[in-house]
Amino acid sequence: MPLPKYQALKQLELQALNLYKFNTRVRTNIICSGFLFGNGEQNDIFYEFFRCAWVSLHPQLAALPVVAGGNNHLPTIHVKDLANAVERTITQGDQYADYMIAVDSSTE
Amino acid sequence: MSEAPVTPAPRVHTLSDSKRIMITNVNGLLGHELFEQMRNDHILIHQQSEQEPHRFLGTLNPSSNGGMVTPSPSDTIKLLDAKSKPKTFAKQVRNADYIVLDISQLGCDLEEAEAVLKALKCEDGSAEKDQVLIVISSPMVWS
Repeated sequence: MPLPKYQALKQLELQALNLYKFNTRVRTNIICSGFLFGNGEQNDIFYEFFRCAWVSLHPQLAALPVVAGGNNHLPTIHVKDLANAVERTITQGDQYADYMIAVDSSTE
Repeated sequence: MSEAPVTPAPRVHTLSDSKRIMITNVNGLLGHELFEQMRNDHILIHQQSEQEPHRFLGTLNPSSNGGMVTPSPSDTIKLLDAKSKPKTFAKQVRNADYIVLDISQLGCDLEEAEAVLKALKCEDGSAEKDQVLIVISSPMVWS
């Protein structure tokens, strides 16, 4: 059960996956993407981290925050990679699973 | 051990038929990138081809980023509004070949996403053509 804020997203996913029952001419693929970055960091996800690393010359202030033991890796993906995945799914999605997870391999 | 030859996937911008492509939240980070990857109007003009380019439809995410709403990537994208013109919106959704429904963005309109799914249901069996729906979701639904 997802957090309350994301339960609506889960419901939409389920509705999309059940769409074939009502319209057999629609092919549905769901891509669960990691957190997006890239293209000049237009989004705010990593802004604070980059700002910490780039702006501050003080060694302690420039250190990136580590939560707990630092073993919790957040899934990320570059926007160009996700766009490639979407395009490939559009043209060849019938060969893929209905539900896919799109993340990069950055775990370090 | 020999590896199987990798066949490059066909690209949308090289498709010979003109497609109607709908991208929700087209003014977002992913919307801009998808439009740039799949558009073929500039290629066809350069090649002086008589082929019709893909037609793009989109919706805007009105949530502001730093006090400014990001603009649509191109004026050639036909912008739709599910709230002010629901019938036109549903008709355009049913006529689209490829639909990219982005619900991963912060502040995306979930009512608009529901309107897309409702339009695609076609409970009266009036679906006219094959369509592809790609839903971009967030990993937070697994939280």
